[in-house]
Amino acid sequence: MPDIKLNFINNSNDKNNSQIVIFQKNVDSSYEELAVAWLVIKNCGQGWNHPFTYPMAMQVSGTDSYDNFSQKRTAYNGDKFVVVKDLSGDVLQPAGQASSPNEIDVLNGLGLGSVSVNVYKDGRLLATKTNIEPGGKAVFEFKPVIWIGAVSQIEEGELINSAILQDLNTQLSLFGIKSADVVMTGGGSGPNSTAFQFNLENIVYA
Amino acid sequence: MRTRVSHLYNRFPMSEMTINDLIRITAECREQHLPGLPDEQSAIHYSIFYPVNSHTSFFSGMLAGNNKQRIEYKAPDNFIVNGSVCTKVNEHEIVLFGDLYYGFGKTPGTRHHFDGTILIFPFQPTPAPPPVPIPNECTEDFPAEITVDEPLFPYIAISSWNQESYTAGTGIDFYSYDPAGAEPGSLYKLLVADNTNRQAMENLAAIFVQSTSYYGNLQAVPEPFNVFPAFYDLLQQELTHSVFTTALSTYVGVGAPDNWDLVPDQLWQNYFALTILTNYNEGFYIDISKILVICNLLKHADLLLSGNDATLKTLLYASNILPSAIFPLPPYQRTGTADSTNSITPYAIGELKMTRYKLLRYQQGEVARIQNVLKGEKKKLVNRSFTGSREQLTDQTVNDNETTNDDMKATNELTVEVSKTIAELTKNVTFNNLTATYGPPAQVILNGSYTTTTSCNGPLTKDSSLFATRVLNRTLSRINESVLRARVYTSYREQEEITASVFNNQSGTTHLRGVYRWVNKLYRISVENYGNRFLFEFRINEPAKPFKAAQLQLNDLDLEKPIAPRDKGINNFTDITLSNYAELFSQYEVKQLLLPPEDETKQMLVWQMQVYNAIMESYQHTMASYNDRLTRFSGKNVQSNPLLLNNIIHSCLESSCHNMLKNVIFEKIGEEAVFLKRCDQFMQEAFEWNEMTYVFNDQPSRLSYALQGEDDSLRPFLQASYALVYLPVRPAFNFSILYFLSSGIIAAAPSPFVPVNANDVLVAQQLKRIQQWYMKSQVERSWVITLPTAMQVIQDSEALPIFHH
Repeated sequence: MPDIKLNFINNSNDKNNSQIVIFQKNVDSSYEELAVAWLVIKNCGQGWNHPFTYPMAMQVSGTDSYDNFSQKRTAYNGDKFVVVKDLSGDVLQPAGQASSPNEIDVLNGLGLGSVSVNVYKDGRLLATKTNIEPGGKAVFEFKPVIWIGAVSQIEEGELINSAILQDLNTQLSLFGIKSADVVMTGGGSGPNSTAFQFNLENIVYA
Repeated sequence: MRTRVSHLYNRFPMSEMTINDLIRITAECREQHLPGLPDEQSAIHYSIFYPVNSHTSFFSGMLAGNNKQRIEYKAPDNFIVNGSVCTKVNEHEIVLFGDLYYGFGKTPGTRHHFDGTILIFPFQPTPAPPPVPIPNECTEDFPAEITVDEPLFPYIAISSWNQESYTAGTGIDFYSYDPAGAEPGSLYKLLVADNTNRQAMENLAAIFVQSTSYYGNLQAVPEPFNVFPAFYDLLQQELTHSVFTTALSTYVGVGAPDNWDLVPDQLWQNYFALTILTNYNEGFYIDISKILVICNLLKHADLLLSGNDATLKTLLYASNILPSAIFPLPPYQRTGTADSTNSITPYAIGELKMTRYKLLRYQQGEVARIQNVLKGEKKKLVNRSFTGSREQLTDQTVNDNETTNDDMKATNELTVEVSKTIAELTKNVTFNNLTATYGPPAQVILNGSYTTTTSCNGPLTKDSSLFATRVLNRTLSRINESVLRARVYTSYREQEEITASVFNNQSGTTHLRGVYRWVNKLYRISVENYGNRFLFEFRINEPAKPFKAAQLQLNDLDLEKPIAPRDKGINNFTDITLSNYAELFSQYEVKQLLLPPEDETKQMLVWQMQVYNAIMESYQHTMASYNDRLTRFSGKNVQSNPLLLNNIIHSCLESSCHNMLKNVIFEKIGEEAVFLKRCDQFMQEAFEWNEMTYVFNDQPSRLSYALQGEDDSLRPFLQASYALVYLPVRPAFNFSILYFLSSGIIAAAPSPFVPVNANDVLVAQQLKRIQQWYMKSQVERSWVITLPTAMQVIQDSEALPIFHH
């Protein structure tokens, strides 16, 4: 499936130079799991736009308890990986098919020591699961829905504070879309100011 | 947000979607009749539930086409949902789209916002996602750098031929002339009165276009009809109901014009005249067609009240059915007869699909053999391949010389007797003074006397011995010499290939094992859909006849299969008679001269047997020559280029089809047709000759088209008694071809304005059902096949392979 081309357009009245954060939520997430800021758009002034791509492919990498990082491996839905120890050391290798064709599984196949797993999309961190015990499994399932909101003081790749997460309430479904504009409106000051709204426009279906 | 289906990315129909664990939306796509529309449409029936596990929806609706529906709801617990859902239709699917604000907040800014696709319902199943790559197969010895991606063969997937009946006036795909409105003396009435004579009908049309009833150009057409072509062009550019409604008042005004009854009928007369006189005034012909379309559209204005763009489109592209009382015109009176054994019939409407194959990779297959070398063993394998050939040429000359010695010895008995007789009497004459001069003239003067004495002596011994013996020794020398001159040429070729392998495991601690695996080739076969096509079936008798005639004329190559004697009634030797033997000799080119015996008993049987054997021998020799001629094109055990054979067959069949199509003109119009010049170009453009498929009636097997065909020869083509050729029509020419086959006329007007004859309405209706003819080539199905090869490769590891399924 081809990558989805999106274009953020600032048609808002915002005068605070708000940053726009885009992230995804892992469907199979535990209660206390936080989302990661996948993309942060900064300094996009009124009338400007910021094109970006939402690729279908993802990359996974692992970190062991010795602070070793594995190389990034390309992953699609339905892939399973395992962190094992071989003659060279801890390695991340493919391990067949995941439990569900909609998710990516990463197992901790080490006898000793926890691992953390990161998932990347378009080279940016999308989600992370930490402290997976030996025998445990990290499951990542993402729907083609992005969450978007106007924030401040947030960096790409960082976990989004739960308080901020609660306020980010716009989800855009990219299901079946080839390209679209994400238009931000609202904001500003004065009696006519409205809340920020994010809408999909100029949608081209795949 | 969670969805409860298996594959999110491959668009199998989804029935339910949960947004943020708060709202649940269920939907179903159904084909149903909608008011104001003739055909079934896809419509989405949806329901929205709150809370998620509620069994009762708070909102249900139905949407079809590109439409939107507002949603406003407040639950008892003050949960608010407002926004809209809409459907968007494209050529592949219908999409349910939502823009919803939901939550407990009092203002939209404080509620959650969902914007985007909710559900997608494809119109046809989409292909499954690509298989997950199995990592074990990535470690191949052969890199996948070779790209072989070629078309294999086209085929047409034919849908069932829908035999529904059509009653004029019930559908909006067509419109036709109402003869009830024809005035006496109108062109229509005159044509109907004289509808058996084509020449007379053409004359009537020619007279009409000279009269004042003929408008001639758009400016002469009364208002508001003269602006209808512009109205048509505008609708064609932007076919929406809103544009139609706006333009209607501009072009037509309010209410029907006063001359609504008169002018259209007059326009029909003009139309008939220009239909008969093809190419006379093409521009005005198209304008009249547009006017008639708009008139028909206005007649069905009530159907357009629903605002359905599909109805508007159908009416705009409706086809004209020519009155059966006049059209098609009868052919001219002709002297010759057309060839009616071959036939062209509309076959079906099918989807043109191309099968392609692509070489994916090479793969290790089953174990071919295993080489074991035990611990401490040294094994030497010698593989010797020897090829020797000797060629000897002997040249021998023989000279024959014959020598004969012929001795003849005469006896002396007779001469002895003669000598004795001679010896008995001797007479002497003595002349005195005899002078002779030689002059001239020669003179002999005797001036004296002469005396005569006679004596008798016996012969002398010496004389008799001379006469006695006469030996005639005649030697005729003819030398018999035989010379043998032999010249011997010997050529000897020897090739030896020795492969020696040494497996030295003498110092090894474990056994060694080499596993040889067969190499398989993996091909991905994919079927691409190029869209719908209208197929015609051409039945061609003796398809190879022109080819054989051409070969005989150009290359003196007789490709006619020799007639077997049994086909001429000669089953055994008793069938040979005095009356038929001469003809058989001549036919089978028997070289021997075998005259019948005079005695008609036992000799006759022997003669019959001889003649029969000679004929059979000659026939077998002729058959061998025939097979030999065939092998020049191809045969078993001879490598041939299938493309060359296909080109030969293709060009022959194409030429035959061209001739059949030209014959249509001869049949429908007559000998004086003037369309032959344009015919070739029209035929070339109208049909997709590259997608032609054919079947011969005695074709051995369909499997010969497989990737490794064996019987790739011209034999089925040369020996077929008839061929069925399936030819797709280029979609833009569908109606033009239909019109041509029923009338023999190449329509001058472009596709939307080509009229339809009454007997083609059923087929035309089927053609109109197809919404889309061309499709961007898309892969419908693909699968991987494995083909074995004769190559072997030694695998890396010693472990025996395990095949996972």
